[in-house]
Formats: sequence, structure tokens, C-alpha cells
Amino acid sequence: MGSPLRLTLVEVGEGPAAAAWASVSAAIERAEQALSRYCETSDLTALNRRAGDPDPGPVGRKLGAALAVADRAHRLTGGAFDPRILADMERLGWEGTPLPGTGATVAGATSIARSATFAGGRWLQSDPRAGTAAVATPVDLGGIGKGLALRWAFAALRAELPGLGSSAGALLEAGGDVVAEGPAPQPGPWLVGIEDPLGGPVERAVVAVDRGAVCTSSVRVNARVALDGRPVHHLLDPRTGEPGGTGLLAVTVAGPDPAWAEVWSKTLFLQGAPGIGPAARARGLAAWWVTLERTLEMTPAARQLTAWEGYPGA
Amino acid sequence: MPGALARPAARARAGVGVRRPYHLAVAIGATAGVYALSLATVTALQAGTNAGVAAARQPTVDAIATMRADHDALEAAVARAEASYTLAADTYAAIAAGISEHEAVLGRLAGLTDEIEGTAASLPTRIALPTVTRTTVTRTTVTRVAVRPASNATSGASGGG
Repeated sequence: MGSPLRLTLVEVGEGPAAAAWASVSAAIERAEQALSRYCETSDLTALNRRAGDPDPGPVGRKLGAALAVADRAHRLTGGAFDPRILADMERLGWEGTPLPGTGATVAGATSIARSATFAGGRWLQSDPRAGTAAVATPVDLGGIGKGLALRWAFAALRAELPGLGSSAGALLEAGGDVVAEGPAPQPGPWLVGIEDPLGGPVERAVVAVDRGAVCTSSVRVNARVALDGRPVHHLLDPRTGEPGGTGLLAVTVAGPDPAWAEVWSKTLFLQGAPGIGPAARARGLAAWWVTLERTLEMTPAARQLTAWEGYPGA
Repeated sequence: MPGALARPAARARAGVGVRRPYHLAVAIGATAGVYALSLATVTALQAGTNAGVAAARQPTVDAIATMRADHDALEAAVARAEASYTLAADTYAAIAAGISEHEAVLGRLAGLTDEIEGTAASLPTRIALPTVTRTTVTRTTVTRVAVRPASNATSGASGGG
């Protein structure tokens, strides 16, 4: 994933801890092999190279599961989450493994790729039982892939540590996404900070997590200058193919599952400052967001989980 | 006197000579030839007829073989269907227990809802709120504190799409 991985264990002996780390690392490695668009030999790269062919080809179980989740996320978010954004990412400079037909620098071409579907209006054709799938256009599973990798790694951790959640606790952190369960090192729940999207040393808030995930979509890193000279960040709106989230710097979502926390953090970010509050409240999400004015706002569900709230310069 | 009278048999041989029945051999040979020829003809005719019958029967034999194969496939499909049905029945039985449990939970939930509705109806339309000095969320046992607690991890930007 290109992100540092950190595992914190509580009430776990050295031997089981080493085995747990090996198990988590292996799970992340398997997820990378299935879902990375930067890996020449990944299942996703192979699928993307077949993009446009309506005959479903064989896909691994993890990629098949990830495609199913991405398809559901696309439907549930009304298209705000769309893995077909890959062509626009490459147009703006985030290039992965070379694929036929991608890397176009013309906005019109990526617009076509973004809306490409098979007959019937679906971008994905899959038969999970047969283990086959086809995509209408190359897809990116970056954010949701990281969430799924954490989900699978934590499942591997549960299998390795039968007492996890009761006698033992664990916190797994990868690239700014966090999953935790069980007793924390200190009395009370795990405490997860929400970073200052402007890079300040003090966190903007601290969130209490008994069991679940905290994920953030932020413009703090991975911004660049596009090929046409504009400064752009990587959170692209599938409706326009351009960076979205007007008036926002970062959105954090807490939920039971890291993959869906990832989906909702990005989806809410794309609502922009005017729309994020109603959208998050309508879904009952625990969401925190920082505006361009450095104001931290949150939903009622998020307020219940907030152990500490800071202010700019605090 | 030894030479005065010859025995009749010897006299006959010496005077008349021996007549051999060659005609009988010819007749027998001819009969056998005719019989062999007839047998060969009948055999040839019989073989031709058998081949015709076999050729005529071949489609039927093929159809029977196909039917047998279809029957085998059908039998296998029935066996599979039976296995699937058994599995589905087992699953349904397991689910049915869960559904009953779920229904019981729903029943309790409905009771609670009724209770809440009744309580809500009995609430006053306006209440005076006390002054809030500290926010404590009891549902998640999260207590807000004034001093920033040390966090176990930080959620932030990663660069993932």
C-alpha cells in the first residue's frame, strides 16, 4: 500500500505477538497483490488490462470481493464513489502501472472512460460463484482497497488471537486509517487523534473507539501540480473528474468497518462544506470535518465519541 | 481231380471281369458339390441380410446409447438436486431457529417501542433544561476532558484515492 503499518497489542505475549504481526503482514501483502494498481503482477492490473472486454475473466477471491464492495459503494453513494475515476487520476498525474488506453491527457477522453458501461448500464459484470469479472473501463480501488486490506488483516488478527476483544486488545494503523478492538493500554477505550490537516503538531480532536475504525480523507498529502499547471489534490469528484470538496480540508468518519469508513469519508468530502453536514446527519454517520477556515465541525453521532476537542492553535 | 472243375467264383472272375461303380462316386460328388454350392449361396445371402439388419438397427442402437447417457446424466442431476435440497433444508432449519429468535427480539422491541411511545406522549411539551457544566456521554462512556489526552494512534491523510 505504500503506507507504514503499525500494530499495537495489549495483553498479548511475545510469541503470539510475533505470530500476529506475521499474520497481519501476510494479509496486507495478499491484499496488495490483489488490489494494487501499482503492482505489475496484481490481480487488479490483470483485470484492468482486460477492461472493455464484456466476457468475464477469472479473478481472485479478494479482487472479486473488492469489486462487489466497490459496486455497492457506487450504488449507495449515488455515484459519488466511483472506481472508474482512474482515467482522471492518470490524466492529472497519478499514474500507476501502464495500461492500454489510459494515461490520456485529454479531459474528453477521461470523461468517456469515467462513464463507460457495459450493455445494461453496469460498469462491472461479475459472477462471484464462478470467480469471474469484467470491467467496462480500468478501475482504481485505492481508498476502499486500503480499508479492505485493514478489514482482512484485522480478521487475520482475530483468527490468530482468539482472546482479542475480551482479554486482549489490538490497534492496527495503516496510512492514516485505524482499526481497534478490545482493551486499550490505558483504562477506557482506545483513543484516536484526528490530525490537523494543515500539518499542525496538535491533533484537532481525540476520538474514543471501543471497537471499530476511524478513517480520514484529507488534502494534506498527495497534492501535486497537474500537467496543465494547476495545483490539485487527489480526492477527485467522479461527476466532474476534478478535485472536489469545496471548502473542506479533511473529513474523518468512525464506523464499524474500515472499508466503509473510507467510502463515507471520501463521499462526504466530495459534498463540500455546504453539503457535508446534512449528508452526514441524514445517514447517521459519526463524522468530523475541518473547513478551509480551520473550523472543526461534527455530527451528533461524532460528538458522542469525542473525548477531546481542540481549537486552532490550541 | 484238381483241374477238372473250377470253383464258380473263380470262374466268374476270370470270365466276366470286375465292374466298378464309378457312377456312384460321380453321383455322390455331384450331389456334394451342389450341396456345397447351395450352402455357400445361402450363407452369402444370410450374411448380406445380417449386415443390412445390423445397419438398419445402428441408429436405434445409437439412440439407445444416447438415451442411456442422458439417463445417467439425469440420474446424476437428480442426485445433485437431492443433495442440494437436503443442504437447503438443513440451512432452512437452522435459519428457522434464528428467525424465531429474531421474531422474539422483534416482539420485545415492539413492546419497548410502545412503551417509549407512551412515555413520549406523557412528556411535557416544554421543559426547562438545567445548566450544562460538563458533557458526559454515558452511552459510550466517553467523557470529555479539558486537557488533550494522549492518543494511541492518529487518523489522517494517507494519499489513498
